[in-house]
Amino acid sequence: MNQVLLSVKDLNFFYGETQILHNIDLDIYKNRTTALIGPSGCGKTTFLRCFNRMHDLYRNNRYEGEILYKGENILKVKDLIELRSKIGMVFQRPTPFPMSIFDNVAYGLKLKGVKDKKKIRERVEKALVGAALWDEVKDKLYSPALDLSGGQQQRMVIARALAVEPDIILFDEPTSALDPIATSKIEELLSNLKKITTILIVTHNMQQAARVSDFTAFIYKGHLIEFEETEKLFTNPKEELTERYITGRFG
Amino acid sequence: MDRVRKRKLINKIALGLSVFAAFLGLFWLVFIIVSVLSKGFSAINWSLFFKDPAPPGFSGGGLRSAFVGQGIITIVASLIGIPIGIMGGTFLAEYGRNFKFSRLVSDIADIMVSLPSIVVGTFVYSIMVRPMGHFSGYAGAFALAIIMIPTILRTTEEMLNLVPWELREAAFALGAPYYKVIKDVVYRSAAAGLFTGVLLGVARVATETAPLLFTSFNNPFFTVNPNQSMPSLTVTIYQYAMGPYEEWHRLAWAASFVIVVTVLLLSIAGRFIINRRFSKR
Amino acid sequence: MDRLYVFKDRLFLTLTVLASIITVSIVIAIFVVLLLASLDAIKHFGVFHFIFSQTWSPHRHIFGGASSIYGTVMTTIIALFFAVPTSLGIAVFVTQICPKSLKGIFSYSVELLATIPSIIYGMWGLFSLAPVMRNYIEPALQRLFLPIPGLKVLFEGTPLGIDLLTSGLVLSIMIIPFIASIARDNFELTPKEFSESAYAMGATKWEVIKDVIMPYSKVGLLGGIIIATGRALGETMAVAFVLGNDHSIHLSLIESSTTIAVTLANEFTEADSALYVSSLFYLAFILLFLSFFLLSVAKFLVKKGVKRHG
Ligand SMILES: Nc1ncnc2c1ncn2[C@@H]1O[C@H](COP(=O)(O)OP(=O)(O)O)[C@@H](O)[C@H]1O
Ligand SMILES: [Mg+2]
Repeated sequence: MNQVLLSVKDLNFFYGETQILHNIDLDIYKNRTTALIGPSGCGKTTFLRCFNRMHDLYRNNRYEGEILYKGENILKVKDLIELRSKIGMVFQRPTPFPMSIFDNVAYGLKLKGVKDKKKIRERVEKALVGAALWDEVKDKLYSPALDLSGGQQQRMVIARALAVEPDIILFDEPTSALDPIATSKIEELLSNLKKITTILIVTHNMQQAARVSDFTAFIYKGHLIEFEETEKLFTNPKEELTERYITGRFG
Repeated sequence: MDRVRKRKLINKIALGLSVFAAFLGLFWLVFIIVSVLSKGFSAINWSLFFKDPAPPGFSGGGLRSAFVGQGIITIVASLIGIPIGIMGGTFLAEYGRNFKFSRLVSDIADIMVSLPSIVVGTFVYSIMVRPMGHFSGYAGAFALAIIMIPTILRTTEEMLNLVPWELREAAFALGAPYYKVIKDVVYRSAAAGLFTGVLLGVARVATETAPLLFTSFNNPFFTVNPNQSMPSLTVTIYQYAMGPYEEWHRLAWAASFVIVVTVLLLSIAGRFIINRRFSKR
Repeated sequence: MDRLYVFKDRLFLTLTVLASIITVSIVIAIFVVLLLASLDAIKHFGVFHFIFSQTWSPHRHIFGGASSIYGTVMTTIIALFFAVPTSLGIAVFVTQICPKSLKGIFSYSVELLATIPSIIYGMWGLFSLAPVMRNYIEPALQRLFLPIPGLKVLFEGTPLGIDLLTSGLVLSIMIIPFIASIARDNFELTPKEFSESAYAMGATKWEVIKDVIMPYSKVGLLGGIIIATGRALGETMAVAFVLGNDHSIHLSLIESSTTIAVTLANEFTEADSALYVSSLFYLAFILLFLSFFLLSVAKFLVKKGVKRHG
């Protein structure tokens, strides 16, 4: 049974005067992985960053429409700090903070005001286990996160997002800066993660979308062209545009 | 063919002159450093650091009071200048990065860095020394702080701008408020650069003379009270060098020696930190 | 909890805004305070009269800034005369000639000149350079130039080593690192294709430098030279040691003189009448105004230079 976690209704987005997203309607299901695919520049990142209101960091950005989350419109939420502690994000390139691995993973907990040392330790370990990194770093938790390899850094960043037990994690092409081995580790991790959280992932790699996701949304020039179960979308697309895109006849 | 030979000759001469210019630059550096080191080294002894100046014309004194005075003035100046410089730079690179006002502040600070320091001295004289009725270490410190602020502000701005935006976004995405993003992520990432900036800013004012001439002035006696006129190494060097006594000249060289060695060490240390920082990334 | 975050964030924001406002206010305050303090002298001597009057006589309560302004301008011109070619030479050497492995250490050595405090330049100028000037350089220059009618005036007098020439030379060493580093940065910004296409046409290295790299860098170079000029104008200690404090105008470069900064350094604490003090503030204001103006122009040019490249 698919349970709706987030519901996007008639979403429009503008960078200043330029409209980037047009009338998007989409449901995100709980404990499922939803992939966003589409050609470069079609608005995937822009769309993803609406969910945690990242666009509010910059001026002249405007949203219209709603993203419903537990009965509330995310786009109207006042307390972004609270919102972002429930909606995690992982970026294209690893973003380790200049502190130890432990402090990195514990950072979100400390922000939330968790003081209990023992509890923090437990949650850090759980998150690192969840991110399939625990075995590799358990002996060097207090060494600088910058010393990890790129793939390890990315998994640590995932652990950092997991530690606060968010309802959903947004991934923006999380493997595009990694080598194939690190990539396959992350893909494996992504498949396991949906047991504990919901995933919305942007990828320009269709095979990756097919491998890790349950649902796929195809976006083209800021419009949502098709949204389907991944298997159906890739085997039997309804729209001609989608078919042309997935068969590589695009230009 | 002749023309080509002429062109080649001109080429040789021009390049030869530029090599000469380069060695001229090195020559000045070596000339200055060797002069100070050789004349200063023989004048160095323990009483320089542990004795106060002898009365004019007598030998055997030291410059303890001037060392202490310079230290106190510099520390007070740093207490005022470092926080304002870092905070101001933080505004320009973070909260205010999109405002025209920030560009203006940044440009004005750039200009301030090169404004004549003696002018700052006259300014502080009229707003502090005159109203208070006497010279004071505080006035000297304030003058130095004014000179320090734009330097630190600009380096802070530049160092913070080097921190990638993604890193800030990652912290925001975890729900961090901006001040925590700055404190935990931005300052930490830029720590080496900030430290170097502060170091250079402090080193620069710590060796200033002109702005102290009519703010902290000078004092023949040992004092740790910044509310009265205060001796400093640099002003003392000036006074002693221009004075008639051999003993004074000797002390002025000794003080110059200490200053040059300190400045060189600090600058090499700063260089080292920057190099390490850039090789790590 | 989140309220507290918002409060702390506001607080931090306020502090940073305040700090940047303070920075700008200081500059404005310096202008206003110096102007107010000079009003007395401005009323008394006017603007043109003050700038062009040579008389500086505390006993007669007559103050004219011409001698200080003359010395300021002359020392600066001499400094530029020595520093500009040397700095350009250094920049050419570093960017075009020097082996890569020595580049860093060499640039760094030149930059070290900028970290030496001006009081040290003063000490060195007075005790090390001035004797050499007095005993060797200046007599040699006299032998060379005194016979030439047009240049005679520039080298008349008894060489003492405490004069415009020595001061200008010390100043030039102080500004070399600024001009050299800006020149180097600008040279390096010249796109490779430009110089390579000139080489491809058979140009010599010097021709490439002269015809491609220098023209390409001229806006930024000019900016750098103006910044250095601003610095030279206001330098106090290095000059105070080796210029003497002589309020009369001599054409000869081996005569002592004074600059605005040197006059301030020597006379500020001794000024015994309100008008005297006010005249000194007037000089300070003129110096501030000149430097600020020059530095603003330089800032504008450097920005323009960078924009063109970027
Ligand atoms: N900050 C911005 N201001 C204006 N336009 C932007 C901005 N960021 C992205 N765009 C434009 O929005 C469109 C969508 O970009 P993006 O969401 O990054 O695409 P994708 O992630 O699908 O490659 C692109 O045409 C891009 O040029
Ligand atoms: Mg993208």
